Amino acid sequence: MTPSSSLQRIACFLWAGMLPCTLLGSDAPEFSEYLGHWEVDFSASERPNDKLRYLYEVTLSDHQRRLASGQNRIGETPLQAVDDLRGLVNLGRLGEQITRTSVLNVRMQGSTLYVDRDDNFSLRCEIGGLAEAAENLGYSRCRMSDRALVFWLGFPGGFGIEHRLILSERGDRLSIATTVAADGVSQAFSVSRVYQPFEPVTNGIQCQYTLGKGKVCTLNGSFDD
Amino acid sequence: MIRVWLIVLLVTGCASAPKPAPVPSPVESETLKRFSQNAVARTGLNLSLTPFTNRDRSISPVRAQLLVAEQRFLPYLLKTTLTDSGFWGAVRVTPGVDATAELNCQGEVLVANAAKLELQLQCRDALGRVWLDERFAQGIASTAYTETAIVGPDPYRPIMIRIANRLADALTILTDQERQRLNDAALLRYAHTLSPEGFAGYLAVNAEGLLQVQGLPASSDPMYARVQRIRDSEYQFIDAMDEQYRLIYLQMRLPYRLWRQYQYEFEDYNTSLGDKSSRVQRRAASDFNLMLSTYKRYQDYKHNEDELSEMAESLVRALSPTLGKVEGQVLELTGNLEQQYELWRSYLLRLYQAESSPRGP
Repeated sequence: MTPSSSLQRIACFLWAGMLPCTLLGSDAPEFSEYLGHWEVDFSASERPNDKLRYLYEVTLSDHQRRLASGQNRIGETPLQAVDDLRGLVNLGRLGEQITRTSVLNVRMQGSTLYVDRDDNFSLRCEIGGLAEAAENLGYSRCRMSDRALVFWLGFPGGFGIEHRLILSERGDRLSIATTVAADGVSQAFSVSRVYQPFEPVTNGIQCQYTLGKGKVCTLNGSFDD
Repeated sequence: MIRVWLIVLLVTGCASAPKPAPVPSPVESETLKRFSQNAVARTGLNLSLTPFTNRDRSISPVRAQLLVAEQRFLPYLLKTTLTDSGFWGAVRVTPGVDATAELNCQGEVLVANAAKLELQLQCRDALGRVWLDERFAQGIASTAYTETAIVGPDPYRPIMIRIANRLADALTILTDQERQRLNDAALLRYAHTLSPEGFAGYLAVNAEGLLQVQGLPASSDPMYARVQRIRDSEYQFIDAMDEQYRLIYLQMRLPYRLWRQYQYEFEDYNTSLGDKSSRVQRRAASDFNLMLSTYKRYQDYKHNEDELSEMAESLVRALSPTLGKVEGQVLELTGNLEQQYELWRSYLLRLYQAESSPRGP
């Protein structure tokens, strides 16, 4: 049995054990604290390219050191080290693409918490249900963990994405730490973006439907016959 | 770091092996029967459909929300098929049972997913006779979702054709006299909803619980003429309601089609996982384009789900107010489609009753 398959079995066991727990931890913030409109604060956010460059150099030097000293892992060859680095770069490139969200709208609809993202699909979480309630299709799950609302998505081909939403103590900053990890790559790639609250403006347009005229809209809401 | 690895292993190792849902084999599709241009023109019967219901309480909240949109999309898809057949007068989707229509059909969604559609449909005419009370099920072939089929008919269209053909068969055996009786019954029944006392004498209920036309008011009867005028306003209003359903249908057509296509692909993926061990699966991390396209596929699926979900939300929210004029009075209707329809019916009732008096044949 390979170390990877052992881990997989342990993980499956832990997974099964986690099922009965509920979504909201005892010291976790209320979901209502996440609600509202948030815009990215570039000055407080990490830059994916910088993170990737750093991680690449650290991983490269780690491989070089272990290969030079003969402390490489069982079965690890220089070719595999190159594969590992290539995989890491790919994770970083994907991480860069999926962390471009500038505006968030966190809202509740019934028992579902939605994190609407301006450039991507909404993340959803069923509140009050089982922590790890799976969707019908795809492998998206969410749970509350250590004051963070965690979403993770699993994909065919052995890679997964975790979005960890952490609210500051004062509730005036929302950090989203995104981690991309994959089978066969020694390091996961993480990048963190910070968001601040803002009030969206309304457009002031009002419409009515007239059987004779169809839909009529005005900017200030006054309708002339 | 171990935690992240656990997550990856969880989502790729444990979560990637759900059992595939059994997919029914697709039923051979029928050809839509069309009204012959050469046939003698016959009295057209109007047919109305209401949004389909669903009684399944075991579905997830997200699925339940999407179902709100599907319950309106499916009757409109049936409407387009019935209209294409050419057998009917006006075919409309209305928020509630349409008192003006000669035939009303109500459906229930039993199963609706990418691989299968199952509906229970009941159609009753103005006399109360059941034309159809049947369960229709259809497996959807994977070819219905191929990229080239995107501009083609909806994958659920074959089941709608079967229903349309059944209704056409039931319609064509009617004589002209029976059709005329249905026209009369529909108008009298409508008059009865406005003034039960005024028109009760023209209709009777037989031992089987069916309506029977006992006679007709004189064509010069002013109250009967007024009912016909109000019915014309009602036609205008339900046409406006039907237009709203058309907009919902048009907005939903593409995202709903794509959403089901991605659903099918996920199910295919699950099935293929059952056939292969995880060891033979290709590692996506070594190929950026493969990884990105996998993500984009999922992203498209979720985008379409978001769009449908947003549409479903808007359906239960208030629409723009609707203004209509009946018998010289301007009515303002507010709320969602179903609420506006209820308001309309109550306005009409009050309007008519203000001037009605007991009548008989």
